[in-house]
Order: sequence, then C-alpha cells, then structure tokens
Amino acid sequence: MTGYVLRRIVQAAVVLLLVSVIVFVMLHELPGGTARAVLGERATNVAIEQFNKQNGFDQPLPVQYWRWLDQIVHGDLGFSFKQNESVSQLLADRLPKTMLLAGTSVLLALLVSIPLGFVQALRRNRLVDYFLTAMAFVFYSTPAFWLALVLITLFAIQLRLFPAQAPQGSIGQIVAEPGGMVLPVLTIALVSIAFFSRYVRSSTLENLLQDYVRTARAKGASTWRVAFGHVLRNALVPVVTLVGLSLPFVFAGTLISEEIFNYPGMGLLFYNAAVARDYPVLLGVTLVVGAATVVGSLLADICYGLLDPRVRLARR
Amino acid sequence: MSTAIGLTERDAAVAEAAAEGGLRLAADVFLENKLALAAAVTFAVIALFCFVGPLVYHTDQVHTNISQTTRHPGSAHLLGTDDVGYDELGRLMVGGQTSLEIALGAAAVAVVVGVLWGAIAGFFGGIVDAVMMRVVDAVLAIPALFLLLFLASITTASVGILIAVVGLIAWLVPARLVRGETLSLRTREYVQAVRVMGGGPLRIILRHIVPNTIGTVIVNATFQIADAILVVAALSFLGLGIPPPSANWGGMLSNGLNYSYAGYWWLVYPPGVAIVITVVCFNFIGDALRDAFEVRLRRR
Amino acid sequence: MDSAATTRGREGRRGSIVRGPRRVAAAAAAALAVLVALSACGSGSSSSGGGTRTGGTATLALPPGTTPDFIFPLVDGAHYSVANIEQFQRLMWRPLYLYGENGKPLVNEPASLAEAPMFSQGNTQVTITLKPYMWSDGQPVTSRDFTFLFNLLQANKANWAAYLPGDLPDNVKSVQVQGPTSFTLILDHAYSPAWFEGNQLSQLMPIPQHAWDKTSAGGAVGDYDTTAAGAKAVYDYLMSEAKQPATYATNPLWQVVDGPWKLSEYRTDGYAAFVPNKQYSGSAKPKLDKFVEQPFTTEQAELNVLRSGGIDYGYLPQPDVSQAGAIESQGYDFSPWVSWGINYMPFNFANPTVGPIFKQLYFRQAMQMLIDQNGFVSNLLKGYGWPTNGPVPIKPDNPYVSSYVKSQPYKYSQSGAESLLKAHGWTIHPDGVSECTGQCGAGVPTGAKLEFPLIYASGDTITSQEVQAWKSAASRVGIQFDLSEAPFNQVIADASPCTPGQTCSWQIVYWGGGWLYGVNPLPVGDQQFLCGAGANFGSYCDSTNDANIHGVQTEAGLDVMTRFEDYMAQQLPVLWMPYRPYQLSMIKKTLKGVVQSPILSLTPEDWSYSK
Repeated sequence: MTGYVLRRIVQAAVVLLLVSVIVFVMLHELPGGTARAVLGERATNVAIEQFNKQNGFDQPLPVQYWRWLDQIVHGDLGFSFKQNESVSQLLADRLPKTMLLAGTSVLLALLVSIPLGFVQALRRNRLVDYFLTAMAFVFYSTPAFWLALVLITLFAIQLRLFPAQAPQGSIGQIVAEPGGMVLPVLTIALVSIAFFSRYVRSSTLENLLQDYVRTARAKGASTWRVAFGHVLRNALVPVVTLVGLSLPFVFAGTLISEEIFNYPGMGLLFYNAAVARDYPVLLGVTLVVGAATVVGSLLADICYGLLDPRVRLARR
Repeated sequence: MSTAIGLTERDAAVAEAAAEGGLRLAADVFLENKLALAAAVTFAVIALFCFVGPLVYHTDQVHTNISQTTRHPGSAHLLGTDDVGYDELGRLMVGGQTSLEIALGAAAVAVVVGVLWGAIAGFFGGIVDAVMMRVVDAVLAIPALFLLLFLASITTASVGILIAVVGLIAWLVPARLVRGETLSLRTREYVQAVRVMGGGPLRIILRHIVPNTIGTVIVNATFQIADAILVVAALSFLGLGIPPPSANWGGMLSNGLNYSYAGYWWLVYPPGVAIVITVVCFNFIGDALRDAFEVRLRRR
Repeated sequence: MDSAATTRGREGRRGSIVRGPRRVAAAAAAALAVLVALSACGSGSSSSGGGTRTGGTATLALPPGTTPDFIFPLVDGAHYSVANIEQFQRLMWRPLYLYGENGKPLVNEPASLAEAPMFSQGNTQVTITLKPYMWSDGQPVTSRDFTFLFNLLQANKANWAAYLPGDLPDNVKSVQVQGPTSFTLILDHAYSPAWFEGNQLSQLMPIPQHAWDKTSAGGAVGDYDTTAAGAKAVYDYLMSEAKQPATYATNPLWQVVDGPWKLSEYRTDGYAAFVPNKQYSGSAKPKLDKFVEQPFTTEQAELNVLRSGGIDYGYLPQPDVSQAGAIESQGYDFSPWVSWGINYMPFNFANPTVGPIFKQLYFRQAMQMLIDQNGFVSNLLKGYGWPTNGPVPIKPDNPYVSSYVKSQPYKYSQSGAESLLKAHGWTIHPDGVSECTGQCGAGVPTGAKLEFPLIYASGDTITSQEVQAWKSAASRVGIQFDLSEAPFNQVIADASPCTPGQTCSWQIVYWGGGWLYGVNPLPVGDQQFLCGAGANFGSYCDSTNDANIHGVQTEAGLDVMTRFEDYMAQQLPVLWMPYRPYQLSMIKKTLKGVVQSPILSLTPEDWSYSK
C-alpha cells in the first residue's frame, strides 16, 4: 500500500509542476500585454518599458518562470494590478466561496444521483428508468447558460421565490442568505446529477450481475437486502474516483454559474481577469484549480486503492 | 463531461469487449436498440436540414438588413429575423453547418491525436509512458473552459481554429483509454509474434493495435462530438465565438438570450432546441454503443 | 422597513400570474425575507403625492466592468475612469468647479467648491475664491489645501492621468495666495476663460493638507509638499495607501472629506456604500441615510435583479428596451441618461500599407457615407441615440454645436460612396474586393485592395450589430472588412498611437463606447485630434486643425469653436458613429430629485424618497 501511495504522490507532484509550466507559458502568449491594460490607453512606450522592467516582464521566459515559482513557494502569488490587491489575498477571499458553491452542488448532486441511479439500475428498462434517463440526457445536453436563464426566469422573476443574484460580500454574509444560493447551486447540480446518476446506474448494474449477487440470492437473501447490503457499497467505490476526477468539470460549471449570478467566487474572478488580461490573477486561479484537481484525484486514487485491492496491486 | 472519467476496471473490460468485433457490433446495436436507431435517424435529418436545406430555402446570410430586424415569424420569414435582419431559419441551417463541422472536426482531431498518443505511450511503456501520461494528467487537471478561454483569446476564432482548439482539449480522454487498452493488447500472442518476426513498432501500432481499439474509440468519439457542440456554445456565450457573418448554434443561442425578456422566442428556442436534440442524439448513440459492448461482456 | 414597498410591489403584480392563495402567501413571505436581506431598505411608506422625507437607502447599479477601484483623487493612468472620478471620488472631494447643471454641460454653481473664477490681465490671470466650506473633521477648507494639491501635482505630473505637456500644471507660472480662501493663478499666456475653467480648473480638487501632508502612516503632518522631494514623498505615501482597497472604508485618511458623502463600506468587487458627511457645507445636504453602488458583471445579471425589484436606480440593457413598459409598470421611471460625448472609429493613418489610402479625403468620405447613422439609430438603437457628425455632440442642447455639424454633412448614400471611389480610380467589385486601377492618390499603388481587418469590442450587442451592418453595406461596393472581436481592454490596447520603431499593424478598430467629455466638458478635441496627443489613436496630423484647437484654448468666444468643429466635421479624422445614452436608466418612482448629469457625475445629495 505504501508503495502505491508513494508512487501516486510522486506522479502527482510531477503533474503539478507540468500544470504550472503549461499555465505559465500559455498565459504569456496572450496578446495585449499587462502593461497596456494597467497603464491605460494613454501610456507612452517609455512608460510601458519602465513598467515591464519594474515587474520583470522583459526577462526571458524561463527566468520569469523561475522567479514566479520561487515566489509561489514563499506564498506570494503576485499582485493584481487591475484590482490593487495581492493575488493570495484575492484567492483567500474567493476560494472559500467557490468551494462552498462547488461543494454544495456536488453534495446535492450526489445526494440525488446516488438513489436515482440506484433505482434506475434496479428498475432497468422499466418506465422509471426510461423517464429518468431521458431527463438526465436533456439536462446534460442543455447549455448551462441557457439552463441558468430558464431557472432565473421561472424562479426569480415569475415566481419570485429566489433572487436573481447570488448574495454578495464575505462568506459569512453569503451563508446568511441561503436563498440566494439556491439557483446557482441548482444550475451546477442539475447537470452534475444527470451525469453522476448515469454513472451510478451503470456501476450498480455491473455489480448486480456479479457472481456474488447470484450466490447471495441463491442463498435466499432478498433483492433489496443484497442491494443495500453489498451492491451499494461496491457500486459507490468508483463514484469516489468519479467525484475526484469531475472536479475540473465542476469548476467549469462554477465559472458560468458565477458569471451569470454575479457570485463573488473564483470563477467570476477568473472571467473578469481573463477579460482584463490580469496575468497574475489568471495564473493564480488556474494554478490553484489545477492543484486542487491533482490533489483531489490523488486522494480519490488513494481511497480507491484502499477500497479495491485489485487496483493497487496491478501495475498502473 | 461523460468522458472526463478516469479509467476504471469496467472501462477496461468494456474496451476489451469492444476490441472483439468493433464495427460489426456497432451495426448490431442499431438494429437492436430502437432508441439509438431513432437518434441516428434524427441526426441524419438534422444533417440534411443543415447541409441540403439552404439549397431549398434560399436566404441571404451575408448581407444584413437593418430595416427588418427582429421580425416575428411569418410568411416572409418562416422563423422570423434576428437582430440584424438575417432570416432565422436560414441562419439555423448555416449555423448548424458550422456547429456540426466544428464538432465532427474536433472529434476527428481528438481521435487521431488521442489514439496515436495513447497507443505510443501504451506500447513503449516505461518512462515514455510515464512522461506522456503525466502530460495528459496535467492538461486534464486544468478545467477545459479555463484552457479554452486562453486559447481562444490568443487567436481570432475561425472554424479551423476552433476545431484545433477544441480538439486540443478533447484528445486527452481517448489517449488515456487507448493507452489502457494498448497495455493489455501488447501482451497478446499475435503482437508478440509480429515483434519476433521483426515488425517495427510503428507498423505494429498502426496495423495491429489501433484497429483493435476502434470500438472504444467510436464510443468515445460520439461523446466527443456531443461535448464539442456544448463547448463551442459556451465559448460563444463567453464572447469567443466566430465573428459574424458566420453563424453557429451556440452563438445564435447566446445572442438570442439577450432578447429573452423581449419575448423574441424565435431567437432562443430554435438554436437551443437544435443544440439539445443533437447533443442528446449523440449521447444516446454513444450510450447504446457502450451498453452493447457491456452486454457482450456479460454474455461471456 | 421594506414591508410597504413589498406590499405595493405585490399589488402591482396582481394582474400577472398568480398560483393560488396559499402559494402566493408562502412565496410572498419568502420573497419578503429575500428582498429584505438582498435589497437595501428602499422606498418609504405610500401616501398621496407631494413632499419628500429624509432617510432611506438608494442602490445604484453600476454598468458591467465599471467599478470604482481607486480612491486617491490624483489618479494615475490605470485608474482614470468615470467609475473612479465622477462616480466615486467626487462624492467625497469636490472639484473647484463641478459641471453638469440641470442636464446641460455647464457649470453646477451650487455644487462647486469655489465661486465663479475672475479672469484678469487679458485672461492671463485668474483669481479663485473658495466658498466657506469645512472638512469633515471640523477644519476649514483653505487656499493651503489648494496649494498642497498643486505642489503634489507639479512634482508628480508625469504620473497624473490627466497630464498633457503644456497644460496643467505647466501653464501656471505661479500661485499667489491672497487670503485664507482666495488665490490667484498667474498663467503662461492668455487663455479662453471657458476652456480654462471647464477643462483645467474643473479637474482640480483641494485635498486636506492638515491630514494628508505626511510621508508615512505614523509620521507627523508637516509642510513636506513645499519641496519637490517632499512632494514626491507625500505622493508616494498617499499612493501606497490608495493601493490597499480593502482599507478604503476604514483608513482615517479617506474619512477627511469636504463633499457631501463619506465612504462607509467598500469591497474589492467594486461595491461601495456611502453615508452623509454631517459637516458638509454645501447647500444641498444629503437626505438619504445611505447611498450604495452595486457592481454587476453583466447587463443580464443587472436586468434580472431589476426585474425582481432589487435595485432603486438601475438600467435597461439596450437590447431589452422593449421591456421598458413592463418595468415601468413595476414602479419605475424610464429615463435615458443623455451623456455628453461622441462616438467614432479611428483609422490608423500611420499604418504603412493602408495609411496612404486612409489619408485620401475622398476615401474617408466614401466610408462615412456607407454608415447609415440614422438607420442605426432608428433600427438598432430603437430611437435611443443620435448621430455624431463632428467633435461637438448635438445632444444635449448646448451652445457649442454649429449648424453645419447639426446638418449631418455626410448622409448615408451607397451610390454616393460608389461614385466617389470610381471617380478616383477604383474599380468596384460588389461583394468582392475593389481594386485601385487608376490614379487613386499619393502613395496608393495600383492594385491596392480595399480589404481591412476591423477589430471591435466584444460583450456589447449594439457594437456587434453596428459593425455587421456596416460590413454588409461596405461589401456592396467591394470594401471587405475582416471582423474580429476582442475584449474591450485589448481593443484599446491595440488602438495605440504608433511610434517609430514599433510594429503598427492595426487598421481600424471600434470600441463602441466613444469618447465622453467628462472631466473636460469643453469639447475642444485636444486629446483626440491634436497631432501627437496621447489619445489620438490614429496618429491624425493636420496643422490647420492644430491651429484651430489652440485657438479654442486661448481665444474667448464661440467663433473659434465653430471653426474647429466645422473643419473636423468636414475632414473626417475618424469615422463618426451614433452616440448612445450612457444608460437607459430605470429609476424608482419614489426616488425624487434625480437629475442625470451629462458629465456623468453623481449627486445623490439631491435625491430623496417621497413620503
């Protein structure tokens, strides 16, 4: 087991480094330059050169990357010129909010999709299964921004049940207005439910047809007992991996949801920074999200290894 | 995205099952599964609508007509006009051409690059495999939308650029899947035999390994197409679509949403429904194919 | 607090979809809870008309992408924006002269910090007398506060966003203090009083010397600003404090104000809440308890909140203008905010390939004649907009615009454009690319093609529509535009004046927003059209024009203005485009006293809620 975990950690570290390199190189290919964005349209070329020199933008790329990596290790993620704040400060402010949004959405999605997928598997090819499958497909195939608008039109404007905008301010202020979180969470959760439930369904199906199930039933156990006793637990094992690996998808979902509902999280921060060409913020957010995903899938793999011995014994 | 899931035991088994019989099995699926057949037929209708439609229903999709903006559907314009005067039905056809071209093109790029990458990594194993797969992991760790925002903002979007950009994100999962399969395939006797007989790695990869991955690749490709349509729609919404007068469903939808409160429903539902139906079709087809390979697995 | 407003809101909705009594009650209760939490306590209790009360909070929706992010009034280039100056800093620190009286681009005397300026000695001297104002900490506003500002300006002008070589502070030879509240500026030569007051003095706001004249947080206040080195040190210290937005509402420095408002809360997303400055000495004292600026990332997000009643002073995105009636019936007044500005597309005259083509007047005329401004206004802007025909806006009513400019010298005419091009050696290929096959002008080679990349700002529906319509019209005479969208910031960045040694590839750009004569209300064009000016993106250079502009700056009277604008209208240094209201405001009927300044300054001290 230790060998497996160590291997995984080393792999994760390498991936993390690669993530940072990719992000850094790509961001430096963006045209428009930070200097102009910061100094304004009236800036002279001399001022731009000065700015670039001051902030190290004129150094060769590998040098800039090394300097940046060094800063990161010391906890300094750079300074956002557009927002006049350090990136770490911005992230510290926004990350918990996105975690709240993403976490709530994933939790809701799991709470709904596990029983849903389970029921679909047990009632395979019956009406319930077809109906839920159809619903899942439709939600999954609808562009998220359209779905959000439909939710807003229905719940916020016509029914006036929930506000059209997410709560603002600090995380304390946000938690104090749970009603405002409903629509943003629903936007992400509905699509996630669609795709999680399909997965739970097929995982359960696969388990239902295993030998041990037939044996248990031959011994006289009822379907439901077998289902809850054994199948559910085994079916949930891959779901652990699923959650870990669907993090990028969930973050993408938060980007759109935050942008539409004005939710002050990392997705919105990222979108505004992309429009404003705010390099340090873009780097910081992408790095944090990439790191979260790597760590998430590492944890998922470790859990999976703990739960399923076949995985850690096989050479991956 | 349905394909953004890592390799699990089940997938490996499905892959193996798919390897045995690939295309023929795919054909069987459509004969058995009514839903998949319906989906395939629906898609054929949509493709006809987009590519043959304009030959029947002539509209000017190049010149605007600002005296005819946002007209209700009527005899002159069957689905009304949009906010610069283009006929909406005609635009739906032309937009569909672009959307489908990009989706199919991106899926093709993803499949070609992914299969080659995965096959090479799986075949050589060792350090080559480790490095290549870590690259895949790294790019996978970054949310696609974030990466796309970057890529699409460096370049002026055009059909070709979008195909490349979306394909660049989409090749990762087929790469992983194919690599997994290659790992198991290369231990097979006939592959070993070819090596003994002096077959070069490239030949083995192209002639023996890749063809046996067709099954998985097809399943994955259908999901890629579905995802690509949604991704291009999201990109258009975030302001990174193809510039006018080109049209695509995602851009039409996100532009139409500006007018949703104005009650111009014909700018919202036609492209939106077109997207949903097409994506659902491809999801049904892919799902049916995958199920069929599983059934095959269970029958053993 | 909010119950009466909600009641009235629900009454207004009685005609629309209602799902049955129980659900309405539950939904209403939930809506009530949410509205109370979400929107600031707004409207007061209902009553028959007439009379306003004190108290209440007014929430203003900020347009997307325009949030205040800088508090120190000596703004640097990166923070030179309406959001920072007219709608944030000016609520706290008043300039000598505030413009925008009664919806006209003229001086707002009651809100200005100083009495009308007295020009003398052939307009080479100006004496300014400050009104008897107090700072919020009880100290009087004095000439010393002005000289403090001026010293900081002189020592740090390179960093000042509004600095143009030759203008403030260079054009002031010396400042002579006459008394505690009056001082005289000795200028370097004669200036037009209208120009000097409107475009120079209006940018100056006295800052509290007794609180800000220090070089470190713990240091003592002194007269550091009297030396150049000291002035730099003070400026650097104040700038460093300004670079900590999280402290804007708590830092005692920023609490010393002479304007009607003090900042009580500020968040880095741009949310700002103000409370009245009890020591404000001006005549219009704030009646509201609180004024809030609420940021939004998209117009749609704001529209959604507006439709659910959560905003007191919001706006309707232009594509949704047909919703005006529906929202009005929810208790709002529809009030387009006519702002003082022009809209245009610059050509890059310095581009080596196409510059020579752009330099041909006939070509610019043909291009302008392909822009159906009146058509855009009626079909795309749905009537909420007006054409730009020259550097002076035709709206709002003002004394500066000439009859020539009002007459729209270049009306839409495809045939006119075509014959102009044909007459100058171009062979027209409709829907293709027209070529030069004759004598097309100096520097235009035979075989030159009329195909240009056109970059426009993304995120705005009208901009995109205008560009598409223009592309379509131009294509009919064989002028091809290769469109590409880019974020606003990038478009501005791309459209920079070319300097020698720099790659200069842009040809035509359109950022859609135009130019607001905000801090410089006299439309003299010195920043956009003067040869070498910083905002002269296309590097337009014409000596007659330069002479005309200098005339406006130095000679009194309107003749110089007419000469300048007529020449510009005829010469087309840029392509004129229709100008839109700053926003299509939706103001709650119960919020009285809102007069929308064409300079975009906010004066919430004039607002109050009806009883």
